[in-house]
Amino acid sequence: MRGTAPVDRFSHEALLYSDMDEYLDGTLAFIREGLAGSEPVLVVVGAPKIAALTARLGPDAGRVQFKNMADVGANPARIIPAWHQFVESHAGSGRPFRGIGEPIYPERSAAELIECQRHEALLNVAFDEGPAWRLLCPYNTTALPPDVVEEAHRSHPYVAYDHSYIASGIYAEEAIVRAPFTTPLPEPPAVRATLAFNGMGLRPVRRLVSTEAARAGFTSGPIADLVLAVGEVAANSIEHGGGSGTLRIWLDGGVLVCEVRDRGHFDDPLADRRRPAAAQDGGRGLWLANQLCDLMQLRSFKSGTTVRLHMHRRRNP
Amino acid sequence: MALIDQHADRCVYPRPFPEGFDACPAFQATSFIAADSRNKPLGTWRTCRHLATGNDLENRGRFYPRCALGDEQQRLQWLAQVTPAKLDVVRALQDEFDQLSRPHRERLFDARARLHSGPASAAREPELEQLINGFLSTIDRFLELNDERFRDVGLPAEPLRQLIKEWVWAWVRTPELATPRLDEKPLEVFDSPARAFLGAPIEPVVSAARRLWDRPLYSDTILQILPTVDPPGLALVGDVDRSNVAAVAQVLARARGHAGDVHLDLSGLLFCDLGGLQVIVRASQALDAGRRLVLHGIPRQLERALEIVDWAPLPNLAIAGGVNG
Repeated sequence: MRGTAPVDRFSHEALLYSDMDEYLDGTLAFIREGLAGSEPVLVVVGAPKIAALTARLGPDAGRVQFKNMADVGANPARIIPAWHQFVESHAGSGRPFRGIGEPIYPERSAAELIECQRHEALLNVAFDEGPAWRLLCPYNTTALPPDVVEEAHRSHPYVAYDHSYIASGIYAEEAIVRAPFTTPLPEPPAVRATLAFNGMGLRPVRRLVSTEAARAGFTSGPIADLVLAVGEVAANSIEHGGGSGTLRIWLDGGVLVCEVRDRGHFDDPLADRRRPAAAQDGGRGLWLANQLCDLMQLRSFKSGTTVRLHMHRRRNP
Repeated sequence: MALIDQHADRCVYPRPFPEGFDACPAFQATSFIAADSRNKPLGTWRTCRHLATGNDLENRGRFYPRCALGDEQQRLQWLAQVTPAKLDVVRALQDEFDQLSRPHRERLFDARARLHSGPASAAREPELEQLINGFLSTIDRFLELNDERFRDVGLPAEPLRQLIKEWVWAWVRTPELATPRLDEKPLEVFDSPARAFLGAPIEPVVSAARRLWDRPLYSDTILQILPTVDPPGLALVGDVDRSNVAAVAQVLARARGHAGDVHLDLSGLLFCDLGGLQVIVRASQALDAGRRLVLHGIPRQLERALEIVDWAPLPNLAIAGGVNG
């Protein structure tokens, strides 16, 4: 099936490119088409690509809003809120609008790639029922593993190759994406500390996280952030996860991982990426954790829920 | 013997401190090599960097174990000022340094004993110097490798290197000292309150408001809520979490009953979760227009958390200066 993507609803499109020329051809055509229709355009990609696009666009670059994916989406769970903000600021204008987002790039770690793929799938859940707009996601087919490229066909209903769109034959049913995320998590390399906790108090949890993060070489800023984030996730275990939980901490290369497991069940796929309303009571813990940590892995099985919070030892300045 | 201990800065914990000791939140372990009268090492003990010797003025010639940080209130205020995270960074660095330097210190102990034991000591100086230089270059590498962590806790590496060098030489040259007495002058290059990490005296730690410690409005094992004067209001000292957030809400609700702004001194706060922040935010929203809940000395991290969850700015919530963390 060939043709163009639909314009009456959210259109999530993948652009498969094998080199910089193909990248620029595909993205520039998309941007120029938007500018020709006076559409607001937001491009969230890496710094070198922003530089290349700016150079090729010349004076038109001033009409495009650029954001660095390293700032917006170091933790991929922060990307949907950024697009939400873009959609909210233009949805009322009556004009169409479009964006380019490249959350998946070869420098991502294996854990980040999995969460990025989840993010790509959740974009459909987050925006399918909202206003119409177009989002193009470039995928580097030369540098990315083949299974990541295949997954792009599952998360994007439309895939562009060679100046035309085809409907992805294997786009996943939305019901599957809406279900809790159950992709298994790898076993930790070597656990440094384990602690069972319950409603008797979370101070031991905070002390253990702080001590282990300091021992792992972190400075006080990320330590305090991790203590706050893990404290919120552990409090969720007590409130919603059967009243108790288990904390495990390990170091995986330069990444400190704090895992909280409980017997609760979790069924809102966007719970950690919906900006909390000022008036709501509670429900801010996962949001805060995503803003403070470099990565959060959330899994909910019949047997219980697992949350892993990652903090990188060397954070981007 | 007085029934009431007149020394409020007495260290009340069991010594020597057992492995894994964590009853005192300001405890900062450091290892200490004890020696016999002939300078032979007897073994390594764990002590606290803040443990000092107090003079009992009532009973001349008698001493008591004194906490250099002061009494319990001063200890908590110091901890809030440096932040528990920074103390944990210092504790980790101290552990790593102790492990790294143990073999060096043991060798130096022996060499020092030989140096001071016989008439032929001059011949032993070169051996000692070689040991010291080996130790100092190990220290240099450690400081360089951990430069970011040392700067984070307010102990920049260069003056620290100088200090350790002088400290090692003083220790070698002074046979009667198990640990060298620190000269306080060079320590002044480090800012108070970080100076206390090195066992040096610090300037008195002040809270944002004067607290009435003898009239607590609420108290549990991790939190005290105190009335304050200058300005009149409340102080939260310790940790606020789901175990005591209801008590905080209650005390704040009662404070709203008085006229004018409500002042909340957070400069003694060691931790506050989102539930605690929510109680503070709701207390400000319950005030009539024109009245404010004024937060004094809010830890920087909490101020950031307020922004992340879109609770700042709010019309009835004001943030006054005196930031720590």
